Amino acid sequence: MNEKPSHGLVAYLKGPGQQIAIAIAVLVVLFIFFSLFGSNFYSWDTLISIFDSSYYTGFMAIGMTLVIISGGIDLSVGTVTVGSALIGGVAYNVWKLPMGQCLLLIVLTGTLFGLMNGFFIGKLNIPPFIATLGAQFISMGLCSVAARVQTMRYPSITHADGWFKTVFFKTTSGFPMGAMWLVFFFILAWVLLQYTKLGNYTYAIGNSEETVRLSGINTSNWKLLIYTVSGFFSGLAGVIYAATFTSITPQTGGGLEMYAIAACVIGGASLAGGVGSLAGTMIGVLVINVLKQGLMSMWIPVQWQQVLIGVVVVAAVLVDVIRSKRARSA
Amino acid sequence: MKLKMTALLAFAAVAMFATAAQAGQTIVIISKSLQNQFYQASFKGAEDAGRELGVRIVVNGPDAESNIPQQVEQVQAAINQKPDAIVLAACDPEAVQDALVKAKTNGIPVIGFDSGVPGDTSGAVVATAATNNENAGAFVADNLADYDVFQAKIKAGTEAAPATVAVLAQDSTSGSIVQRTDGFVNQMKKRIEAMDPGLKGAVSIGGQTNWDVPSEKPAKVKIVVTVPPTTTPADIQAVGSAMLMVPNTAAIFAANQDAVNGFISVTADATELDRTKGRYKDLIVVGFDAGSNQKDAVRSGAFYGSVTQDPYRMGYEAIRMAVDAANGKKVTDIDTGAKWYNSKNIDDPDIAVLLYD
Repeated sequence: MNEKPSHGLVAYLKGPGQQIAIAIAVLVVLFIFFSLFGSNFYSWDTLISIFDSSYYTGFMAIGMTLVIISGGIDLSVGTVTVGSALIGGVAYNVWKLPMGQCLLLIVLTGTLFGLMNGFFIGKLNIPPFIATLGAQFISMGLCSVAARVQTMRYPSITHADGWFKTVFFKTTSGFPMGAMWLVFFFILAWVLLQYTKLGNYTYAIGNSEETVRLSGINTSNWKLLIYTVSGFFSGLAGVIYAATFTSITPQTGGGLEMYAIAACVIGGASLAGGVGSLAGTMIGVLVINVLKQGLMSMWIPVQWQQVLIGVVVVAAVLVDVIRSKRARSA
Repeated sequence: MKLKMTALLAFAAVAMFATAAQAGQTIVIISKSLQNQFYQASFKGAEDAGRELGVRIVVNGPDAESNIPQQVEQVQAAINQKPDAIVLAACDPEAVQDALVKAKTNGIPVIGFDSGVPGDTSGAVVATAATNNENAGAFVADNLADYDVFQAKIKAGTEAAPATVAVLAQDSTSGSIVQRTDGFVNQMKKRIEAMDPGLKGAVSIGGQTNWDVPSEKPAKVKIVVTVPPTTTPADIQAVGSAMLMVPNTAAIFAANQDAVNGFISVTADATELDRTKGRYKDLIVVGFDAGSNQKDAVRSGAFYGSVTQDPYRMGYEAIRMAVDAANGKKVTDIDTGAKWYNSKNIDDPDIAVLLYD
């Protein structure tokens, strides 16, 4: 079920590409709808805000895509993202490290939590749902303790140490630097998934781990690597999260993973494993954030965004269910 | 394909037209949280002001004060929509700075309300409608000093057995509580010295290094400020019980909601303050802000009364200032005042709206 287009665009759209096509259609319809009915939605500023809120979800979702394709799940990405940002804040405010080192520490923290997940899942054979549920609590608690349950603040964009915001988030004139980084790491992850052993085994393990193992491949090492990569992307999300929100509150971040999972599912990934694409996930991220900014531009309470994301997620899977049914009966 | 493109462009054109066609001024008011009754009273004031001035009011806020990211995104989204002004109580003043820099460059004036945006460096915040806590503290002192029973107890103070007025301040670093305590102790000293010629110069202020003004003559009345070591309920209760042991205490002022709740806990849910059969039936207690426990204590008469801030007026004045700022007029900070409430007026409609649970 690897989904590289093999025989023409039409066949691709009828087959595995169908869900991406639908996701794109949903995105376009939403965009037009909000352009018509939102106040000042059809503007450069709002477009930038859509990007702004897409970065951290986007990075979390890239890692999540790999994990979901491998047939797993990572419930810890939300708290690891915020927890890593919190640790970076401790490094900046308490340990007084230079900003560059703080940012590296954020990525390192995320990666270490990923490694921990990989160890639980790959080496100790704990089911991903349980292992990463545990990691959700561990990361939330541990990072809060490290911060002595204090809110950690990053410097404002006007402060000298605020340079990282102009480099990783957006320039003072509003150029979306975060989008550049997201595209860069998207391409990196795409190459990883399409052209490396890691990518092949990710799809293969997701399709049938047993088969892969019986062909003499050490799946536990590959799983360890997959979750570590997911942790690495949560760390990157942590950097962008710090740049976006400045103040990082302990005990938060739980629930953000659901947006990442939703983005993957809207983009056509199957929680059964073996199916999914980074392009689809990115469209899923955009669908979620167009909804978010669009509803805000109509002054509709944020809770309706949750309702609508829920509807889109269920609808996306429903389309897939109907398609598989037709494919079987054909 | 061509048709689709045409349709898309047409949609876009209509969208831009629709946006441009909106007439009248719009002001967005964003509170620290949507569910808090304090802010609901502010919103009511804001909407009333909007109706009077003919501007559209849009109300927003995160679902909890701790949901800082949500408020940051709401402020950002509000700026994108280019309203005529924004009225804001920031959950975290530093977290909204980057967004406010953009408000400044886009020429959108921001008015603070309630706690506003302290330490704003963006320059977007032009003025704030908030309680002047020093005035509010003095207002508590005035209401207490006007009470004849209190006056009698103060006048009974001697050099050998000085009367005590105690303040339970939750901490000595929070700006609002420090200012409130300042206002209270200074005004109280002034009022007591005016009560009787014999008390002139015989009032000392002490208890904390922040508040330490010895009296010129031997003290007949002591104003004592007590601050718990931490703001945890356990520490507040510990100093609260200690205060009850001090002899000749005429009155106690609990300076914020946490201090009030701590004090209510150490008096067996204020039953020991019962005016007829309570263990401390002669002790006069005044509070600040609201909350269901405090409201019960005031309603039953266990508390002599309390002072509440005026969130309705905060919302009302903030919108008025926002409209002025949007129209290029100069605006300055406004003290939205405070209101005294006791068992008699607590259920009056104009007071009840200010008292959150």
